[in-house]
Amino acid sequence: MLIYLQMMDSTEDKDKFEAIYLAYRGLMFHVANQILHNQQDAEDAVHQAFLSVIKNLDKISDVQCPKTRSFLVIIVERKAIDLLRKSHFKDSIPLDDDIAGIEVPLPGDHGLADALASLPARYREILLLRFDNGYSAKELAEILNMSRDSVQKLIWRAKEALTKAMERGEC
Amino acid sequence: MNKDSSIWEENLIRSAKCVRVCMLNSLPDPVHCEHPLSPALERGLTDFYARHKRVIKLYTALKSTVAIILAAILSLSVWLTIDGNARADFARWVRVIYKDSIVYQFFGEKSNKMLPDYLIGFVPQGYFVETVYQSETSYSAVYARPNNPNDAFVFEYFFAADGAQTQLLLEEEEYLHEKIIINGLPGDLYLCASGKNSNNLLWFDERHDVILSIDSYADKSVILHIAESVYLKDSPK
Repeated sequence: MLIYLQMMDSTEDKDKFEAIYLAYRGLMFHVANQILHNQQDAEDAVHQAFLSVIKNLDKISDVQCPKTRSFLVIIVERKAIDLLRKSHFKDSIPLDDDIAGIEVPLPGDHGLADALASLPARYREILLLRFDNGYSAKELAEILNMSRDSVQKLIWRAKEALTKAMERGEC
Repeated sequence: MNKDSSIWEENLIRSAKCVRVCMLNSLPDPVHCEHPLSPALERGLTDFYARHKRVIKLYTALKSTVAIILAAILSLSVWLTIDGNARADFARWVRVIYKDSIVYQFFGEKSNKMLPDYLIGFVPQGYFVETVYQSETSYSAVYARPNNPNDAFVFEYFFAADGAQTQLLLEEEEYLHEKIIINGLPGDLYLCASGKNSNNLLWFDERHDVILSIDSYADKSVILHIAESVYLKDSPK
């Protein structure tokens, strides 16, 4: 953790990061390993996720709150899927939008929440970050390392997918 | 945004919370899934740290250069006192080009003013405002076509205060860069050579400390036409 900490300037940031690291590294590894089924790859995904956390530390206000936990789960899920996509099996993996991440149980409302939970990981993640965590398009661009234009288009596509899932009554 | 879309967004916020609760409940409590990460996790960190340091060094060097130039110009206090608007005439940003991105870093005091309202006078036929994000310091609108959601353009602007920055990700694409003047305001146009990624135009309204941008797949003439049609709400077109 020393190298991670060297990358931050203020004591407040270091304390915050240390708290996040100690509280969630195990959970983040669990999430990554659920997707990658390989300890070394899972650790790589956790490492990538922590680098992303460092860059976006200002977007985490309360280390212990459920939204922070959700944010970290989503970040490491995304890193694990990216790793999976880039792996030597990539030719046999379907399009990114179809890659399933962690299994999210359906809330059971037979409506919007069920449809959202059943979306492909990429769409579910962006909608949770936008509408539950409340991040703006600018913040999401920084978090996901995308242009704002791409973020807004992804939100658009995710909403379209959600609408279609509702219309098909998939849930 | 109409009432329906507002209700839709409220439902989406409630549903997102619901999904988050289910997702977290399905995962083990962080306290119960302690996993000591191996030393292998540190692999690559040294390289990343070195790169991070290089970036900071470059940024600091550029910032110092700008500070020196500004200090020299600010020493011309008589001129600055006589012409209060002169300060606004200085370019108070630095463009840093990295391998995979271009970053604009802004300098200057945080404005106490309200963010001006800029409007687009020319919207290409068939486009409508799909989404608007607005805060005290920034505005962003997505214009799309009803039957072609991928054919969208983004118009945004925000205060260029100290510490603000905007990043253009190059995504391993080749971009053609042109210096542009939009209604007398300086700017930069980046055209994606392959056409696979969007084109970007940024221009700077130094009088109001605002940077404006258009991100679009449209060709140069359309982007410039849109940009030249942008005007302040309370000013004549």
